[in-house]
Amino acid sequence: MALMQVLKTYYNDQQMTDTNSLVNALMEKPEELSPIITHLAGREEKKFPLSFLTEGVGNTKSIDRFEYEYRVKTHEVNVRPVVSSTGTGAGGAIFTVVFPDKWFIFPYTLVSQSGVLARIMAEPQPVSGGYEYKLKLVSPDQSSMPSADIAAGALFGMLYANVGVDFSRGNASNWAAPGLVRSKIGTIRKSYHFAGNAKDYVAQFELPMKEGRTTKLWMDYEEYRHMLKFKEECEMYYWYGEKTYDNNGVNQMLDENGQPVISGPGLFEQIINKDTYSTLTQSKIEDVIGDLFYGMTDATDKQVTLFTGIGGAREFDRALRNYYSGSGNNYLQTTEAKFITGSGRSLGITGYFTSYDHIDGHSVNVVKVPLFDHGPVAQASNKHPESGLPLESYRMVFVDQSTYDGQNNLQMINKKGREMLRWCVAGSVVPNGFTSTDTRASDIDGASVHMLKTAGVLLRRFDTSLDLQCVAS
Amino acid sequence: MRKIIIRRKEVLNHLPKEIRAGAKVTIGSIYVGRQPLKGVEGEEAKILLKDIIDVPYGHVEWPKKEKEFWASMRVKVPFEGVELDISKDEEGNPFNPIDYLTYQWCLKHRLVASTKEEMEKDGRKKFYIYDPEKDLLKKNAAVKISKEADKEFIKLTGNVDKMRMLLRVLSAGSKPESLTDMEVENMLYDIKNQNAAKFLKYAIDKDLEIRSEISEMIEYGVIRLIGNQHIYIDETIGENITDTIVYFKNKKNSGAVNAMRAQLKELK
Repeated sequence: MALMQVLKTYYNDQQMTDTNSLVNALMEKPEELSPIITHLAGREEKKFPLSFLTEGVGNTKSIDRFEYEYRVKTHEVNVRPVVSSTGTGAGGAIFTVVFPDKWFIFPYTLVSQSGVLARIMAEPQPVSGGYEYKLKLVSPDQSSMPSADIAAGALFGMLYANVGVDFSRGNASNWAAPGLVRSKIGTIRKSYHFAGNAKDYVAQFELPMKEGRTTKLWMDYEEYRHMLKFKEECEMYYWYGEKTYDNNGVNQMLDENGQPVISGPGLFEQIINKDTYSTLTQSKIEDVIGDLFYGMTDATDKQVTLFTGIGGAREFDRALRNYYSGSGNNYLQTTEAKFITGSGRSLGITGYFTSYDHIDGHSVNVVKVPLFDHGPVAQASNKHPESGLPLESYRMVFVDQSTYDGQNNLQMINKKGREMLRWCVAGSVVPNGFTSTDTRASDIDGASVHMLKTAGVLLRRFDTSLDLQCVAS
Repeated sequence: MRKIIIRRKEVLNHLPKEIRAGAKVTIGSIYVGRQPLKGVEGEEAKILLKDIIDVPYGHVEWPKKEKEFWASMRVKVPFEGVELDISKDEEGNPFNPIDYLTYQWCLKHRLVASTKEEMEKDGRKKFYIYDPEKDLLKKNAAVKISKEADKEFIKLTGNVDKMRMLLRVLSAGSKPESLTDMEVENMLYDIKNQNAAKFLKYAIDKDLEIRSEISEMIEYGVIRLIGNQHIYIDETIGENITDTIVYFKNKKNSGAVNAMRAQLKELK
């Protein structure tokens, strides 16, 4: 990947032929070329980080349909509330507790909300309102089960199965099926037209090949700029897109031809955890991250990316600096020149907080999203009361990019063959890179180029990411 | 003990219900002007925050700590809502200061509506306060209205003409003159049960007779109704029903009103 680069250079018809045109390569292998272009252009322009961190680094998948399904694991609830009870177990007597279902397994030991242990002594029996369990206090020193622990609504949890010395029988394990989510991907298009004047500049892509060699592919520079704009528009769809179908999957929008306009949910619609802030404090960051990480116990390669604008990045840095310089945190202060460069009369300030390592081993990295600063939503948004920047610039989106069961949590889903479609309608001129013939599709003195992509961004775990917005009245 | 519950708006999307139910939705700090939203201020803040902020009131660090407290304020609102104890003792001090502060803060919060209805009307609101006491009062008010409506209904049953007038007003196009007394009574009874407040409003209306007359004139085409405007021949006699009633009551217009009445009589 390190060898890849994009250069602006003059068009040379000797070297830049149809065979090494990127347009032709894209038509033949869109699924291979699209991620590479996203990576290259994303690295150069930094305007579409979401595309870059999914498709651009290979977290992409091509499917045959407009719909896809995937399994999501939900949090297991291993406690059950008491429905009713009889007796308190005083003097080693058996007492009964009714739970709403048969989740607890005979002969496991249960624990009450105040920590008293009781063993299930027999198979639970169905009764009105749930299942009746016969329990006995484990410790002979425990006089009885506190009445608050067996009042309706009190919670019990399951610990372990302690059995007799000999002739014990096997028990069972609980298993909860993961939920099934069905989602859809949408199609985005962009076209541009140009007059019949000559084009001189081209963008040259240097791509790596096997054994360390590189190859050069080229495309018209104007087209390249339009392609970048198209990628920005796709990026807006990945963030702000709203699904056009209802909760039953029925599409609610038809175009002028009566065709369904299918659009999948953008990242904001997929993130279900929401919060707001005004002035960011270290304690707020700690609480927010603590809440998020609590649900990530089964993640490997625990990575959280904090997508934000200039305002959010400043707030993040300011919150940690304030904490660092706080009067109660002297132990954090250092005499090393972490924040000052230069010497004598030529000093400068440096050192900004852009990451946060959590004690549980998760790390948060700040990634700036220019869309939050200069995109249409930012331009339309209210202004921050202190800085005057758009409030959207202060939006902080914590996206869990960890790996679950070998799969990256954040992925791009493409429709096979429509990862990045480009074609031209030639008039008096043929755009550079497209095959030229004497017959043309249009009588216009010029030509047009069209781009199309059918894709969507998929967040597998919805409950480990957070949309934190700065709100002003 | 007085308790209220902060509840969140249910977001319907393509995700399974158990995932939606498990969403971590939080009411966080917001800006009001250049400062974070504060739940209480002044003397109340001095009393209630003294045990929460770790410097005494008046200390040089107090404003900074107070700002930090409100900026760090978070109320996690799970699927079932969050219960707050807002009761006070005889001297007016809250039993649970944190719950009370949270409640006061939520009352002023832009994303929190005071009722579910308000939240549903305003797309920006994401939470609402469920106050069982308020709910009780609201329910009681509805019971009172229902009782009053019943009283008025019983009074009405002795006056068939008034019943017909009321039916014409409450049910446009019902043509009470073509119905029997029993049919009119039954229809009014149903209307009363469906919307007691509306029934009561018109049953005790002093202008019921004029209102009914105007409805009848509209029915027979003597007066034209365009939007809310009432038009007689080419003259707008009222921008809405209230204006038209005033027009009918004004003695200056008695000539025109009599002409309308004569026209109606001819058409009937």
